Amino acid sequence: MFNKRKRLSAICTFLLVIAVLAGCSSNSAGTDTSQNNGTAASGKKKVDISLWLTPQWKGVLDATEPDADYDSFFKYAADKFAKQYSKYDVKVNVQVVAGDQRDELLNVNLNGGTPPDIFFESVFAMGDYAHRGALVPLNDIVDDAAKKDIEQGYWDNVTFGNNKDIYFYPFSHNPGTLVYNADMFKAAGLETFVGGENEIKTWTMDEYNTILKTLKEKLPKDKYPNAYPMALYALNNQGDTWNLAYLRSFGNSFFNANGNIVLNDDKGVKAAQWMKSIYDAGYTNPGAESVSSNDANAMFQNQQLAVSFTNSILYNNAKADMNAGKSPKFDVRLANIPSVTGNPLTFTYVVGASVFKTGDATKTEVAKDFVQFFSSDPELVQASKNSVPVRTSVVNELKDQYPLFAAYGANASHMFSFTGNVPGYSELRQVLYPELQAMYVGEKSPEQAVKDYESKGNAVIQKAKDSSVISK
Amino acid sequence: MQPVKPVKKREVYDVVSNTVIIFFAILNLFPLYWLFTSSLKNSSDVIKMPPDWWPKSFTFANYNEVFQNQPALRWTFNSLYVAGLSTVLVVVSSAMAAYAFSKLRFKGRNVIFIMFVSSMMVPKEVMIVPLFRLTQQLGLVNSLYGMIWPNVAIAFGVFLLKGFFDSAPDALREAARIDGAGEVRTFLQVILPIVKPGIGALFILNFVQVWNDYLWQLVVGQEKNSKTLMVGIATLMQDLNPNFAYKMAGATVAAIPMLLIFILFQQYFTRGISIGAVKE
Amino acid sequence: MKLRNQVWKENVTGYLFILPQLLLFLIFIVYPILEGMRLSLYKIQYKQETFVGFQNYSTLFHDPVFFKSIFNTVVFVVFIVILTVGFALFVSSAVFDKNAKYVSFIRGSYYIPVMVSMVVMSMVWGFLLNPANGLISFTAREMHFSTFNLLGNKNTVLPVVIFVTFATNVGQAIILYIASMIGVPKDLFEAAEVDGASRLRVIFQILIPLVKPTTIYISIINIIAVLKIFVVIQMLTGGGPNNATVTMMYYLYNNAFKYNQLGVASAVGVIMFIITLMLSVPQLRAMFKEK
Repeated sequence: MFNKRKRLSAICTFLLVIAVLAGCSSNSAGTDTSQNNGTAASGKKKVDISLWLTPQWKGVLDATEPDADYDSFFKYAADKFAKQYSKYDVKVNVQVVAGDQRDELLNVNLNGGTPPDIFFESVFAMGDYAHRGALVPLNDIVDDAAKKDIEQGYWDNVTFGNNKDIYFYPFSHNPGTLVYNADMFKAAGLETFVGGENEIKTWTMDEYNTILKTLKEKLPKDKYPNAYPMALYALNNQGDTWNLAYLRSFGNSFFNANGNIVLNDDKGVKAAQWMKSIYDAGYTNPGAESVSSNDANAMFQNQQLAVSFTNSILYNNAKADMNAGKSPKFDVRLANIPSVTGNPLTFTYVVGASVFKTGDATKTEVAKDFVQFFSSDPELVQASKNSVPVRTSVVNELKDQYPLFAAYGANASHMFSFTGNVPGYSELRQVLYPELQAMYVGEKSPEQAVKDYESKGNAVIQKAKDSSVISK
Repeated sequence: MQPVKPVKKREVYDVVSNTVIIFFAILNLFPLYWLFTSSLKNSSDVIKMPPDWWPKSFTFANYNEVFQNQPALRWTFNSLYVAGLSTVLVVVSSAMAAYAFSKLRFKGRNVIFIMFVSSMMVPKEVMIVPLFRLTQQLGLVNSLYGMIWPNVAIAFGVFLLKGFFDSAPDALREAARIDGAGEVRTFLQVILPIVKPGIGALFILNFVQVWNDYLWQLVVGQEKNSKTLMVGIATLMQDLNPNFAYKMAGATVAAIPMLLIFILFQQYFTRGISIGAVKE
Repeated sequence: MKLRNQVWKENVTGYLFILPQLLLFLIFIVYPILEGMRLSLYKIQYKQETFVGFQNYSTLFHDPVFFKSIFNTVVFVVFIVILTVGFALFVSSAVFDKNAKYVSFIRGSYYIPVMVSMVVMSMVWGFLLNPANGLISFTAREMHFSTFNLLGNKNTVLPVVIFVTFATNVGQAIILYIASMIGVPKDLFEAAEVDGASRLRVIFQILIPLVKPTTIYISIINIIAVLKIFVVIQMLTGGGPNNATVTMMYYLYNNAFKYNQLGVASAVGVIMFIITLMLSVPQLRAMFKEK
């Protein structure tokens, strides 16, 4: 009995100690919220707004800053904004949410009437919220100077509905390409296919097939054990834009003029067959159906894949990881997604802020002012160099330092719109990967997978068209 | 727990089956061994095939990274707080209710008890949509209390403790009443001490159950700092981080608290868990 | 008069004692159940609710993925419960009468995964089964098995999920069985020994019938637990490949939180509620008969 009691008290003490220890550390984390209650010295009314973002770049302007993190930029911007803002005493709560949890969090909070005031994210992932009437148009905070500085193409990307309202303030864009390990290419005797350091190399489809085959056969096993030529993944919808691009690589146009999917033709089927054939031939990582784009990215950084997908932010982060010693260092370069036409396939994610309807006029006002501020402040917009700036002025200012800007610019004419600006795009994304999985595991033929994707996808689009509140 | 027949020659079946059991026991622990050792390697050694069975490059850097990048201590605190406070509340509320159902006579007693018990089998997850909307209306999203209250409502404790109260002799209660003790004093000072083993069992069962209440905590704790350990570590798996060992270290961090508690108090645990079941 | 007063007082005391539990029960169990039934008849667009009758249910019954989720859930429940009960009986009947240290070693080794939790164990198995980097996939490739991605093959992914869940949770059943077998009176075994009965006969004819209540208890808690199986699906397969491992709980979660179909999700919840209630009726009846 005594022994038992002693044990019980020991458990309690143990728990208590852990709780106290953890509690101490948590107090420091809690202090920034406790400041909410203080009244402003200036006598201005206090307004709290929230800003969410998915991981973009680390640091205010650069990942090499000390303590650089995904929220550094917005914390700094909020500080700068609050100092010069005359209307209210503003506090911005910045929260980073994982890309694959974005829709869950937004749905939950929209249903509960507690959406964030501002969301900073790739426009393609957020267009649905505009269609559903959850966003506030930003026409009034876009001035002529901004319209002039940012090319029309980007404005097209952020304009939705019959009224041609602007729902996102373009900040930067993020071109998607392939990335390759030049060291592995050289080790496999593929020197001739390696492009320049600041070049985005374009291979023809035949060249690309040769590259994959050679990598598979010639890559020295002792130096690169457990390595594969190319990244292929279909676990979930993350990184699906590259899969969409591969499906276009035999010339399929994907969407027709009415915004319906037209993948099920010769070209679309051929593309799917090609994806299946490189998978079956072992030119890709095994188990594409259960590998995520995150896994593939990590494998590339650990030199287990010679060719992978990237966008300008991922590319910069990967280089930063190498320089910080977090991952092995190797010669990393960019290439375009090849296609049979010989012209490369390129796309870009326009990234920008949107403002949610919260029903609180003050907060909406402040949120819009803040968006305008960080999207046009000359110092802050410099941060767009972490991907590619949408502002011509910033590109011109920085192009000598960042020679890749020119390469990205040269690609612009081969750009395709991967969303087709169709409503229901988020739900549409949920349709593709199960079909790809079925194709890779052999449950469906490529023909069948393409056919099923087209019919399921068009049903999603039709449903979303019917319920869109901004386009009829 | 002396062997029943120590002198008797072992049967073949007995020897074979125990060999199989030991083999599986070790096999069952292998994934954890592999997790711990991998978490101490550097990333390139983790993916090395065939693997090093013991880390050649012994490093704690992955753990450093976990605690630096993630509020892992905060998550641990949240988990302990949610599991601990839920359990205390469950014990208090269940003990009171179980005492009433066992020893007091009042109208509707049986009906209410049957209602409680029938609800016990229904996992709260099936009502996750309305439950979450309720939590939103109460303003408890991102609050640890949002994770706590629905667990306190589950009537399992009432059911478990009622069995213990039933076996406490009524005579004791009568005697206390004759001595002039009120109902509350009788409950606290006379009957409660008798059902201590039951409370211990409930404490352990409930603590473990709430600690692993992943889905509900996932839904309620959305902000980084309001996540519990399990949920937090699970989000870490989605991190864009090329260091595989970092994720292994994260998983290890999630495993450690309960493992420690179990290893330190094994006897107490197994007894509590089996008491809980035997009483059913 | 005094008597009535006393009855009244005892009533009030009783209600006061159950008040906290009753309030929580009404707020967090009864209300959500009723509200869930109501929501299942509505189409919910953010703050706007439109009555649609049984449309959500008909959507469900036209969705092949929903049927797949029911089928998978049933498969998981049946196999995991049978495996758990069978293996736990095997282990505990073999070790319960051995040296105490040995018993606690076995108990501990099988129970540690339970303590470590399904979340962590799913992660570990996920690492081991990773088609490119996992130890298991590597071994399978080295031994030239045709499928090295056990998670990507429709025929292996269900067994894998069943095995992982079973291996993680069986420890609890083992603890319960050992406790209940140690409680069996020793003279029963001695009598059997006098008759010269083999160990297997003792196990099947004495031990297993005697621990039947424990078997029922273990079956029930495992059925309920597997019915809401979610973690291992989310962490290990994401429901794939091509929805081969979608369970009802995973389907409910996705509809509620990913696809924003709260009405449909509520309808799944109502169906699951009815299933659990039906499953627990025999158990409840047995429980009340006993008392």
